[in-house]
Amino acid sequence: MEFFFLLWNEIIIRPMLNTLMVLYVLCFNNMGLAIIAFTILVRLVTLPLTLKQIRQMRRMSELQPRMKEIQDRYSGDRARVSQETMKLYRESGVSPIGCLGPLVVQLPILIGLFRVLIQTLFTKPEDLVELSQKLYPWITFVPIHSAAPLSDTFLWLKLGEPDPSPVVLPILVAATTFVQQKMTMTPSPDPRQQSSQNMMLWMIPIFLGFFSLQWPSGLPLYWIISNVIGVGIQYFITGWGPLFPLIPRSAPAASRTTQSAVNDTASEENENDGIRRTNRQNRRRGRRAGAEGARRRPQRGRGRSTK
Amino acid sequence: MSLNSLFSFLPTDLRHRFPSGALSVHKESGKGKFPLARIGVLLALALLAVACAPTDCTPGLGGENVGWAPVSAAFSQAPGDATRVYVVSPMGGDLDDLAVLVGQDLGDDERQVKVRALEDFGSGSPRVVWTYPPLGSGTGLEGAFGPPAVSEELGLVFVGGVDGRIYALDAETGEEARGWQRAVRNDPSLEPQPVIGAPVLTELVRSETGPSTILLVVSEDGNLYAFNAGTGEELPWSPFRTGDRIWSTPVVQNGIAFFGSHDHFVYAVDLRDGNQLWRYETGGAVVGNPLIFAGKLFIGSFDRKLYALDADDGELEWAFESRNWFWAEPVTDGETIFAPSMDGFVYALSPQNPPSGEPKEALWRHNMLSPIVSTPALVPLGLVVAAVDGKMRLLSTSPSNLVDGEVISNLPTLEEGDIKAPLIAGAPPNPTLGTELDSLSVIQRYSVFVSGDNGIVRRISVTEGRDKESIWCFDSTIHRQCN
Repeated sequence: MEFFFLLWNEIIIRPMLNTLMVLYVLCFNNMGLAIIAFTILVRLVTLPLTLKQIRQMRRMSELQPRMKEIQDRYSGDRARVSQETMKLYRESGVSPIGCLGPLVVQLPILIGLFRVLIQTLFTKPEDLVELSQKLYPWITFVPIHSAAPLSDTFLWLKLGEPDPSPVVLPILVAATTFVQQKMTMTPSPDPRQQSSQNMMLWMIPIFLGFFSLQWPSGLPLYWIISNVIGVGIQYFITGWGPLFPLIPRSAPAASRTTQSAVNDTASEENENDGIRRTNRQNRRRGRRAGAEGARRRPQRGRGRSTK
Repeated sequence: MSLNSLFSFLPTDLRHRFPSGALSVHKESGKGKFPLARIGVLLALALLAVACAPTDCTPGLGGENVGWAPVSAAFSQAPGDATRVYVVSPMGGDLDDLAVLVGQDLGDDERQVKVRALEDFGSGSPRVVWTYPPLGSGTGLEGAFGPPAVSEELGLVFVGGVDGRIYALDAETGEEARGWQRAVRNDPSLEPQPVIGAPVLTELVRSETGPSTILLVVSEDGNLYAFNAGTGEELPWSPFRTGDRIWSTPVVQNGIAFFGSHDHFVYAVDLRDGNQLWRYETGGAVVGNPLIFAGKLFIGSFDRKLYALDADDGELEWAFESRNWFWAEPVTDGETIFAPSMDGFVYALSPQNPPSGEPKEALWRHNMLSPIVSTPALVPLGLVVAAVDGKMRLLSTSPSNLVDGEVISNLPTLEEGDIKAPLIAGAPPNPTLGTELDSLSVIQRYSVFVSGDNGIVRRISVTEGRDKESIWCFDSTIHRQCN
């Protein structure tokens, strides 16, 4: 266990902490700006993973009709459904683990960052004792040692303490989390799953907003910036998605791949039809020849929605 | 509740794309169809840990001890008499258990830190003379980092609290001195800020009042406050304002207070009128206490340098750089400066200036392998140094050719808790301040008081030719002897 903590400390905590300290000095000894720069840096570093994750999710989204077909065909035989679905994934070159992988990689970064922010923002004497042991002695090109203890004021906030307002940051956390979730959401043909999704769409932002009430405000700040960047990335790849289903994406259509167009329009149609679609309609849709049928439908879907 | 809800943290797009049943456990066989369920549970737990972790570290939400359990000692005038030891004990941790153990009602109040006066006859367990607030009162201080200041003349013990208050207690009874417990602040409309540095007592001769005992208090609000220690009246010029919070405990010489501030400056302030005589800017926050010796002021900074300044005008004499912050107060045996650093080394430095143009070099340095925050103590046999991890060593102060210094012996390790509060020598640090060394018992002369941040206090023998052992151990949190 001790070895695990040593690894955790040396691989995650110390590099992150020292990076944050360097950014603090470079950002004019302003911790708020340092956190924003750090968040951008983390999102940049994990961008390939994020893109990979989005691509995997999109591919899986395209397989939705065929998955539904499998479920309908083998309803009652769960083992066979699972077997056929995995076969479909193999044939399509999609790995459900591949979707999860980037998330798993990002998780230690997320946890580590939370710990780092805590360790750098508090300025009790014992916190500084801990901090001193985590600074790299070889970083001399930027005077990080002289920067401590850090100034934690930013706008109206003391970043080591909860938001004094006290609702501005929690509301922003909840709102940005909601927006990001909504953008990545694709309605499910299964009403039960759809209901569960809708519940989570509201519960997670409320949950995070509630925790933000007592978190040191540096953490909500990180979360908000990270969400805003996530929303930006998602927009440039898939457009607004289900967030504003009636507003077409303003980016040039030429930049979109055929597959993404399929995904977007299928999503739009799903959103418009929603859970009202009957099982019969779903089955009819599933019988279409896979991507061929899906490619044809968007034209109709879009035509309907713009009338 | 569906297992699917555990995957609430996953993008919704991803969650429902898994094969039907992939996120659930197979009811019939009891086997998971897909490892994703287990991975999901682990991820959910990890996120839960993320969510919960900050609450432990948010002030007021965690159960950590507050303060460093600082100790101070008042030395008896007559040989053989008891030494009075004052300790500010933390009362964190499992308060319910403690309450049962000592039979006191601690209640739910966060203010559980107690001040205890112990009477130490040099052997056996010390006797508790009083506790403030009294046992069973169900309240206490919020915590303290600096050792109490003891005025035998006034019969008062002063403690600076994290709650921004200064407590003046009767040395014999532990009762609050009338009119003294007060919030340290410049503006009554503002919340008092924590007092981290220790309160300091000094004699001051002023033309209007004659000699009087002055109490200096530094605050995180960036001010140095000066009070008449007997009456609690604030001096007319008080406070003296700096640019940032102050943790450094002032040192006073000839009516001039020397201290550092988080604003990177070292200050010299005339206590008679509150005027700034000089200030010197270092490259980092100055949180440690200064040492005055041979007309020079030695003080460390967070820019990793120990500065030697001319005490008269603040001119830089020399600076010595280590690999981490200088926090603990340097000490001297009259020939050499011993400066501990957060890089784990104790540096022995000559107070003299280095040859012109050459960097200051250490005479020797000894690695304690753990940062040093606690001020070392000088005993007749040498220098006692304690690292944060509880390791203690007795180092020779004699001139040494050894680059690593000379370790005389390892002292009993304080295994429980960290050592961050200053060590206190068992005898007065300077014979002119108290009793002549010759009149003290061997135990008094050859011992140190050490306290861990968990409230364990020990008196450790550093007698020549004998095993270095703990004379007594007192757990100030539960008010009884320990092993």
